[in-house]
Amino acid sequence: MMLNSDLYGGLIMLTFAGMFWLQMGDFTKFGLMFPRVIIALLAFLGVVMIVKAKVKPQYVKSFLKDINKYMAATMIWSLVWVLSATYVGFFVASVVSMWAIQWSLSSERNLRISAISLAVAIGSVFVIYYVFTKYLYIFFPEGFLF
Amino acid sequence: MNIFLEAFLNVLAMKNIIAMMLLIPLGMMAGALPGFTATMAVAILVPFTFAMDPVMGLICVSAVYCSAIYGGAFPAILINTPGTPSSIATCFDGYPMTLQGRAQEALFTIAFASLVGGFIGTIGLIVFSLPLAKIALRFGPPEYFWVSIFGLTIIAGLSGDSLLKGIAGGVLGLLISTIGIAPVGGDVRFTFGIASFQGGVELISVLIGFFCMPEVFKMAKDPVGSYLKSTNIGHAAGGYKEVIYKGFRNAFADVVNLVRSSVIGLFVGILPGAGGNIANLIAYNETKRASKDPESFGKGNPQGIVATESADKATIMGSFVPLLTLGVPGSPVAAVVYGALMIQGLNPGPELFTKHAEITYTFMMSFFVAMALTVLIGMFAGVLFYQIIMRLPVRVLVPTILLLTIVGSYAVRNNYMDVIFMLASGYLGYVLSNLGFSPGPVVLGLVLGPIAEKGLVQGFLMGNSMFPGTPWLVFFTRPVSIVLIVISVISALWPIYSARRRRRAAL
Repeated sequence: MMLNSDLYGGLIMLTFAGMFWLQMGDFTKFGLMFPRVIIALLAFLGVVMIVKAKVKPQYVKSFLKDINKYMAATMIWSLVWVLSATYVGFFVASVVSMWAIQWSLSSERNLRISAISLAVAIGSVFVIYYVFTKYLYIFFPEGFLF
Repeated sequence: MNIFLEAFLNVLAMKNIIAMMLLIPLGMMAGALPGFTATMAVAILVPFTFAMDPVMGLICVSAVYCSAIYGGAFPAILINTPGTPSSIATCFDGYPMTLQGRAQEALFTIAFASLVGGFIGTIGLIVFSLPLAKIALRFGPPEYFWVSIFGLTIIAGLSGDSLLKGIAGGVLGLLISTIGIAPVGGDVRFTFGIASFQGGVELISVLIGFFCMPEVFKMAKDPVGSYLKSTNIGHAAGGYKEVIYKGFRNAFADVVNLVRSSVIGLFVGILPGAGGNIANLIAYNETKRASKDPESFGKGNPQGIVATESADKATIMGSFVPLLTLGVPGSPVAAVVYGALMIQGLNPGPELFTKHAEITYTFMMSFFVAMALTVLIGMFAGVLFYQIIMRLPVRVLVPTILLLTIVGSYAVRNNYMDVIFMLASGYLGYVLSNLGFSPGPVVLGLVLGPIAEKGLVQGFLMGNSMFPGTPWLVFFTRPVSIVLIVISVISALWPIYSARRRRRAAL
């Protein structure tokens, strides 16, 4: 399956221009001068891309078909990792997500691999956590767990 | 002449060399960690320098600064993630070299290019400080506006296959840069109801999102085996000689490129507010423009990384010109060093060149020595970094890189919204790159947006008082502005001229 990249690209640009346009509030003349021009320019470029999509389209291979189970698992676990860290705490979220991603990407899944993955996850997160909190005074989000 | 010799000998004192050699690996590690900037590394070091004598303290600062910027190139080359914003353009050709199994060649190439960049930067700092500072003083808001416009003309060179998509990406970057408090007027804009956006969007988060995340996702697609191709060179007996020679040959194959890029870096470095993040993009574009084979850029042309890395290193020294000569810190690191100088009882400005000349020239000289040691240690560190990444299985490498990207995005401002924005940029970057949008123009827009907006609005305010009724005239009547307009027009029209010349040659 092929995608009309100009059409989708144009729609993305128009979406961004629209989102920012809706956010334009009661700004001062100086605060508005630059973004107003940029929003108009982005909307114009979006329209040009959509027109090009009709007149002289550029097609690309559908990347959605390229996403296999490993890639999908990584994308989903990244999201879970980032969103859960503020609730369960950075340390726990990182250990669980690192272990889960290693587990998802393993070709063979047994107790040994699982234990190694967990050790790698705990080790890496502990080193980072320790160095950053102890020496660099950068404190990570703590949730209801740790 | 005596003072230069004395300064040079001061730097070479055994205790200073040992201090530099201890700090350089730490600086490199800081630079190689995405999100951990050179400014943070220097800021952490500065309190320790208070107990040292001024010479040794300043030498330590130069060692950490040089090595942090150098270390930023490692992840740019090996995993397509700029460790510092100064390495953005190093990804363009460094990462393709890695994918071709030429990672070690790239690592040695940047070593030699950095050495020359550091040398030219140091000479510029020592010899041309005062005239360069005078040039920097001629840059007002209209000039900064035109500098950003000139920067945006680079988009053509970074667009990939479609110029239209490149321009749209650049404008999208400019738009994202307007999130947060307006530079003039103080309006809180485009926060979408999220309080954390009041401080704007963090460049590092977007860099990691657009450059690194799509590659991590692609890496996960085929998790069996190791991620990097082995070159054999460097593993076979005597192989390192060959790969070091290749690096040397790459760096000196086009001496004009090496010198031009270093001079660009030095000059951009002296402009307060500009820095390595802009210099490396300009140097890359100029190299591509001057090349007889511009199509090979972005596909693993070593001249691309020679340009970016030599420019970056010269920028380091350039950024100290306004601080040392005028007492104006032109970059975040210079601002940290400003504090360090004051605590040591040294007032930045002309006094440094009279009352404390020996210390000042020692500090200047230390940049070259620090860069030479950085390059020496960096050759081994780069190979070590490469070996570690090459040996890690993909199933371990992917979550490890994700951990570092999350920590890196968070550490810049201790703001968790930056991590969420990094991931969102990653998904957007993945979709856009598959639709044919190159990440370069988006990031370029993001870097240049604040400079362009500030220059435009402040320029209008200036014009209102100089030319009541026609404030825009201020942008077209100042000599430096006119020069910048001419350069911008030439730069914008160059791709058209170049394409026409190629068509004629093909006929």
